[in-house]
Amino acid sequence: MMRFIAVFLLGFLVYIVFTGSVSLYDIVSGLAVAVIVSAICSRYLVRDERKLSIARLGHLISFVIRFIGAEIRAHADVTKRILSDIRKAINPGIIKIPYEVQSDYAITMIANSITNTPGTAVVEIDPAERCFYVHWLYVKTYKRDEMKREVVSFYEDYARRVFD
Amino acid sequence: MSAYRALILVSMVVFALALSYALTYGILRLEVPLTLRDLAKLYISTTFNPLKRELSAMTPEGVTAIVWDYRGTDTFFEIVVFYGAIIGSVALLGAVYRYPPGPGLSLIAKTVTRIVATMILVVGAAIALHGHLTPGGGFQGGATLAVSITIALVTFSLGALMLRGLTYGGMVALRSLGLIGIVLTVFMVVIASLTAGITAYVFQNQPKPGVPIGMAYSVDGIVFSGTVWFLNVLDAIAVAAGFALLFIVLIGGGVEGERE
Repeated sequence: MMRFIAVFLLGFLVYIVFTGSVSLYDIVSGLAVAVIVSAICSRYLVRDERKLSIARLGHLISFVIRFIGAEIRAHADVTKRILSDIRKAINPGIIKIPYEVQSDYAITMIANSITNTPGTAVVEIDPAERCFYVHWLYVKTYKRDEMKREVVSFYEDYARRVFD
Repeated sequence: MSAYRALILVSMVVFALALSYALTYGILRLEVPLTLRDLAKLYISTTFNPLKRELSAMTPEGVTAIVWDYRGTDTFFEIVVFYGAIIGSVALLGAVYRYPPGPGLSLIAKTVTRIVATMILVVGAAIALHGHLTPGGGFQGGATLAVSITIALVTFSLGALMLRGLTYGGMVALRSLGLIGIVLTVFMVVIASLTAGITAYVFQNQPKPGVPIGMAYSVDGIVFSGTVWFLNVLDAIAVAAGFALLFIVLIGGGVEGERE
């Protein structure tokens, strides 16, 4: 039941934001569409509905706010590299980083956060070995722990709190 | 920073400034004529005009009014051509057999698709349900719904979706339901007129001169534009199912196996 309500709220919110209006017609049709879509899709979106909680939502919001800061720093860093001497500014390489989170959403959140910040991009995921292959524009270190701390730790901490 | 790189940076900044100056002050002369042609005046004065009820389509969105009311018969034959093309593809590629679930795309693509496909379903429904009010309509909404089905087909594989109810037979049934609904809506006012003992037009929506019978255009102040709302919703269902059928056949048709 909780999963139905969660997906229903997502559907209704998307409907109203997309429509850009809150007349009686929009609300009635939006409710109907959200009920139908949630009935079809909710079981694929939420596997374990005991995990739906306000605390996790709070962690997600705090992550989004801190992620904007990380995004700005990464943009500034890559802009600086583009404008300086290209032979010294980049040291590209593909590194292998293991992850320790369990749920699909947590893994996806880490991978998409890495890809969304300029300078790093996940090029492949290996669920059997539980690791990402990440392209790094400037490989700063070849030590396993330091690589993990530089690229993944910030996202992994939040992903564990939000989804695991 | 070398002089070469500095030059690139300066030229990019100058280009952006020049372009924004040109667009802001209209140097590019992208002007719109300020006078309307008579045809445009005619459409604007009759798409939604309660004072000219007998001439008006009572549909606030002009393009949808033209598509489903002024030239509804033309749109009907466009739909017939579209389904003819789908039936042709189905006939060419043959029946679809039951598939085992394939590997699909990566875990990341699958997780994102779960969320995005759900949101696209909502947006497609919103486009169809607001066809009489804002740009869009049945075909556009249906095509958007089909996008959701298509990305799910690619991401999760045909076999995985078949197990969860997206079947060839189901899509044929849904498409037929939409088409039968459209035909019934086309004759709705005619059927009503027979019981009243007068004659009406096929595809008639609002009352017309000489035919004082027609659909209501609003309920409790909520405008739904009579037949236009039904045609939009049914067309969206038929188009979404039609496209889904096409992609199912394109992905999985023409292979030997256990018949679904």
